[in-house]
Amino acid sequence: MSFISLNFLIFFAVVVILYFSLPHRFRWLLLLCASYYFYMSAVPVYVFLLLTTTLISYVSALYIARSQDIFHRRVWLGISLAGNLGLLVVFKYAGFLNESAQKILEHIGLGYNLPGFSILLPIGISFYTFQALSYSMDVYRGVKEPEKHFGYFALYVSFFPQLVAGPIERSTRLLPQFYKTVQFDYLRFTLGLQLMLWGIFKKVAIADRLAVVVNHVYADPTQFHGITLIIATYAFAIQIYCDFSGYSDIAVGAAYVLGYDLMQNFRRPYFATSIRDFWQRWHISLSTWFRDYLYIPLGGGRVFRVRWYVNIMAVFIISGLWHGAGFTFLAWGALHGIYYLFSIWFKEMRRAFTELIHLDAFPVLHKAVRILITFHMVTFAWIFFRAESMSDAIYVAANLFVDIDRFIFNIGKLGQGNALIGGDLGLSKSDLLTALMLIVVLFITQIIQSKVNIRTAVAKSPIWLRWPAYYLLIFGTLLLGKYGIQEFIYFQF
Amino acid sequence: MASRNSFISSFDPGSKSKRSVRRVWIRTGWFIVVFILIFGLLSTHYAMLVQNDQAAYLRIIDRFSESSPLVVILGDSHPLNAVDMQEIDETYALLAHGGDNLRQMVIKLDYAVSCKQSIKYAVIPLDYHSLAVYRERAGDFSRDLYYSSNYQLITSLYGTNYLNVIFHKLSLHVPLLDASNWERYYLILTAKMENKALAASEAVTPENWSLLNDQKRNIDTIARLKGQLEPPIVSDEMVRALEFMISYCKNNKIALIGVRYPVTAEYLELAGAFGIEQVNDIYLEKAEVFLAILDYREIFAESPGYFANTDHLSAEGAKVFTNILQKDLGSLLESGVESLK
Repeated sequence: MSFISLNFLIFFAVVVILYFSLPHRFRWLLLLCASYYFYMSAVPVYVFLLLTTTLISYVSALYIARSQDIFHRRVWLGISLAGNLGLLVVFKYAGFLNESAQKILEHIGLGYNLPGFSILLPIGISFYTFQALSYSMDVYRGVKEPEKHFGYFALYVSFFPQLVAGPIERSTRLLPQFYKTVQFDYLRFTLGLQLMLWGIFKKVAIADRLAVVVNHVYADPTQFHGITLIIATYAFAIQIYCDFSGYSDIAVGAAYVLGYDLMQNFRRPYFATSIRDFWQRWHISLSTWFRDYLYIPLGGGRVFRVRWYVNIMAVFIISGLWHGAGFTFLAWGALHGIYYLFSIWFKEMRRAFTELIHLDAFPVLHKAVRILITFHMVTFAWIFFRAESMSDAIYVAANLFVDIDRFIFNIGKLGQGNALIGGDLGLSKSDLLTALMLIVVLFITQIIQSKVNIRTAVAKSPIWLRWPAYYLLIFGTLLLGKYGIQEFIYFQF
Repeated sequence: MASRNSFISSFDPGSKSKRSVRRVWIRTGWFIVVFILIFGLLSTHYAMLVQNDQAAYLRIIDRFSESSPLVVILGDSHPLNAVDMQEIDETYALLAHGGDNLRQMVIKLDYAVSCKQSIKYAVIPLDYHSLAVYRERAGDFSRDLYYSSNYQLITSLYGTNYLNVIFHKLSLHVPLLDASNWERYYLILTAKMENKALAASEAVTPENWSLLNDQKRNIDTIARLKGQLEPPIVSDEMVRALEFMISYCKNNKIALIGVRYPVTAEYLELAGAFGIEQVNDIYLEKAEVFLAILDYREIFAESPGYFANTDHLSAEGAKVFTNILQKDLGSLLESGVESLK
């Protein structure tokens, strides 16, 4: 069930009304049933995977806590890791591994007859697997007591607002919230709905509008060149942000209405001043997951220098592969790893250069330059994330600036399908202008939001100001939205 | 009683007074009332803007109701653009409309047969994209409800339920209930491109294919083919609809004629890379249930001037094609009437 559907609207309204009508002791059951219904509305049979993940993590955590010696604790942790990651590998990576093995063995002249197979990727498997894994590791480390109530634990793994695409919650944060009695709070209700509405706006009005351009160009980028590829790549940078952060906003908002606080997943990532800063702002629940459960256990930065570099690259490459089973995702992760390493290696050189040109004397300008450079590095890396094959990605990267001079002299023909300026963009001129206007609105809102909490300010303003603002956002979203263009991008992960 | 108390206390943690709960409900109620009012106003405005489009669609139905045809021509923008109604006689009725898929063709045929006993033949397009997922995706049956009241057939073909049918029926009167109408509303309001907006799904650019250079023709054709023939090129749902059409015709003693409409040389050449043999195999397999399959794909391959774009005939092309089609159908009718007896 998509968040952007009438079905979800009805489903959510029913859940909210029932939730606040029921006594606290029955609410977990309602949320659990709702979550399973929500998950099963896509492909019902995959509910067994969700159940298996839940059972493996629940049982292994109980045994980890019960075991007296480290050996048995490790064995039970191993069972949890192997079970959960095993499911992930089979359902997400088996096809990719099989194809890759086939290609490599064929290349070296060895026959390989294992038939290829394709399984429809279970929605949200990467998200709920990581959420379950973090619980097992927290129990193993003694950070979290094992959850004895199976219902609460099953709800922790399957909580519908964040089940399909995160934020990937931690047991230490979410599980205790299920025990608290939630009272209906009008302000909280309003703030949650506001956030959901803002998420829907970002998704249907901005992300899906830009998706038309991106899908059109990236379906076969070899038909395009120059400015069209540049625009499509910028468009994807904004699309994926609005798509994913839009989803997160709806998830966080829905949970907030029900009285639960989910973690913030995005913090104005395109205002990051470095790649390191970017990863502290983008998909925060995943990046902190990798930090806590992979990077630090590998030794983090408290190891020999070369080992540190290897750790960084390993984390970024695995992060890339987490997103998808393909070489393009691997390249995307590796590219971010390389960016990160370069930022370490050339730190002093950058500082010296900044001083040389006296940029440090103008902190605002310096910050703007850093934001611009970081944004472009991230945007370039998105080419690999979005392209359907490595050859497509390389083509796009190599042809970004072809005939760029023609574009400058024919700028008026943009959006008219003119081959002179790199080909058709798939959107009319007025649609392109609307998209541009909405992006500007988005960034201005983000700048204001960094100074003032707009949502609280609106929620506390008088009714004659508040309601028109809500109606404007609701009808503006309806009017500017594109419908049925694309499902949330992160559903495929 | 316990749940009632819990309900009140949930909504009002502080004073637990019924007055506060009532205030929340009243406030929410008013918000919804104002929302519905604005929605209704906008929907009425939209309905006024598109009344010509609705009228155009209903005109097809009206025109049909005034005739007593022997043959009904169904299909999407291909037959709609290829058949010139000025050139064709009253034996034929054109019920084609841009974007129609096989499901809609069945519903239209059912409507046609239910109100005209004279119909003995149905002509359907057998193009490469007729069975594609591109056509399956056109799942909006709102416009079918303009004329058909066979809800059982609609729910069965679209795999939907009566509730959804009622919702779509309602959206005929409150059009903005349908999300896709908001997109059209935006286009009409902002770009003043009513014509484009109204035919957004099946817009036929009024340009002469022969005036375009080779590069532009290839780019346009590939873009079109990608849209139409994205995998899977054969949708199970559309094959099921085709089989439904076949059995419907058999049960109602309607002879079925397939037509493969003309396309440009570029389309013919580039379509080869999209797995069209799968479609051809299905048509071949089902060929015997058709009275005939008239294959015109290549007849204008050397005449780019007859095309408006890569797979739609221009007005000039349509004039020439209609005469050819009418002649061929005429011959078929002579033999077909005999075979139907």
